[in-house]
Amino acid sequence: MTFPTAKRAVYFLFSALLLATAPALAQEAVPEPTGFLVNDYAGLLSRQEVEQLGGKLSQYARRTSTQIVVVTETALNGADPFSRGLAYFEKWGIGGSRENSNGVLLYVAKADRKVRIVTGYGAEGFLPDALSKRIIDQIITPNFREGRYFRGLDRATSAIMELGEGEYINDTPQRGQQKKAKGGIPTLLIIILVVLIIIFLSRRGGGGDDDDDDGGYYRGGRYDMDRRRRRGRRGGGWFFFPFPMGGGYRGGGGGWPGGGGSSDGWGGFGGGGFGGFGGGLTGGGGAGGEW
Amino acid sequence: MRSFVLPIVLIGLGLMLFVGGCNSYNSFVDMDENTENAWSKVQSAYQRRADLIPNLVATVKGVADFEKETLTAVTEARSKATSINIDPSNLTPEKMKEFQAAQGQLSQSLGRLLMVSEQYPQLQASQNFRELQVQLEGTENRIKVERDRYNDVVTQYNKKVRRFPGSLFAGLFGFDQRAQFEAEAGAQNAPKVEF
Repeated sequence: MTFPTAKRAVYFLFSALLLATAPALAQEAVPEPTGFLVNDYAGLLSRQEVEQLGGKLSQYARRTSTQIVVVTETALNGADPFSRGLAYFEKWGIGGSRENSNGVLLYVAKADRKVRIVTGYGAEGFLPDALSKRIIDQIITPNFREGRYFRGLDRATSAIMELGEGEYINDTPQRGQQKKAKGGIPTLLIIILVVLIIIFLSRRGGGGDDDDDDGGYYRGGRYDMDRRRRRGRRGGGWFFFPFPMGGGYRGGGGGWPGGGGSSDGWGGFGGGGFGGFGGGLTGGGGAGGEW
Repeated sequence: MRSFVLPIVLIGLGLMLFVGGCNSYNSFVDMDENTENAWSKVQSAYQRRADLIPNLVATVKGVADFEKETLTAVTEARSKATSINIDPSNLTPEKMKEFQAAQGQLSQSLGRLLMVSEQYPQLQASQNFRELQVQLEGTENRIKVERDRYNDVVTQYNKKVRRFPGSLFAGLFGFDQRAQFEAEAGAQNAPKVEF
């Protein structure tokens, strides 16, 4: 009588165990997006090559909103290139926007000598699986076999760019995404207004002190003045605090800590600003190959 | 004074129940829509595979004097698989099992076809056939992706249906649990399409 339930319990336990171990076996975590379109973790390219390739791709992304991303890794560590590529694509959300999902990922695993193209839903139209395969077989594989990684990647991305030409255009050139600010007063304007009002008010309440020179320091800071004068400065400089932090956003170029394989500390990322990933989705399209 | 308190408390409670019910009804509707959407994507991924098969069969036939059995098995499995379409509002475990069995049959016969095709160098040399193989691999991948996504969405939905406060409303509004894809028995040793 109790046998079937016991059996079921065992089955359940077993499957739970399988489920629990599966992701651990499958792959290590995908790193956070770097803000660059070329992510040479495996160090296949020189700094100049990364910048050249990244510059080309980010320019294309800004113009068309279609994002072509290159990721190279040293090894798959037991994962298969399809699911690894998929994991990158999904985590980073490659593509100009979720609605368009016009992203393409070119994934390379160096030690396993495997390549994979993953296409977003919106990229399947101009880059069907058969063409992905052709690009891998005819451009990437022959070049990679001779160790010409840059040439392979450069020509492959150019081929993809050509195919995607005219499919999408970037109608929000600043960011390559975003469908916000539907009419009404733009958020930025409101923020500016509020900040201006705060500055105005804080000036009035400032009490005529020389509080501009000490920026974020207030209340017990190094540059603070003695107690008697402090009261008069309340509400002074501290409203300015946000400004120094609001500055640099995703600068282009420059070294990046971690990853990489070259000796000069060059992390292998580049390509200037392209506006960030737009949350594109993939249905698992694309093709794979090895060299 | 006391005569006031009771009605107010009752009205308050009623309001809370009403608002709670509305909220949970709405979130059920949302999740219901999500599962239906995910299901339609699963079906279109399978449809994509089915659409590829006539072309594949024609190519194989045209290029080589191919084993008849294998081809008819594929054609038959295809017509059986395409005959089963499940309406998303009717995703019962039985229906799902039927669907999965039919599609699994098709996967197997397709795997066999690809395996046999390796003995025909003529076929392997054909550009058309190679690209069909790539497309087939692509559809298998898409099926996998959409199935996984469907399972994720349905897990969320089923949790909502079964967990306590929601389960009350789910019963009230008639939201039932939905079936998921199960790992096929012997899925590990299914013929793998590898290039």
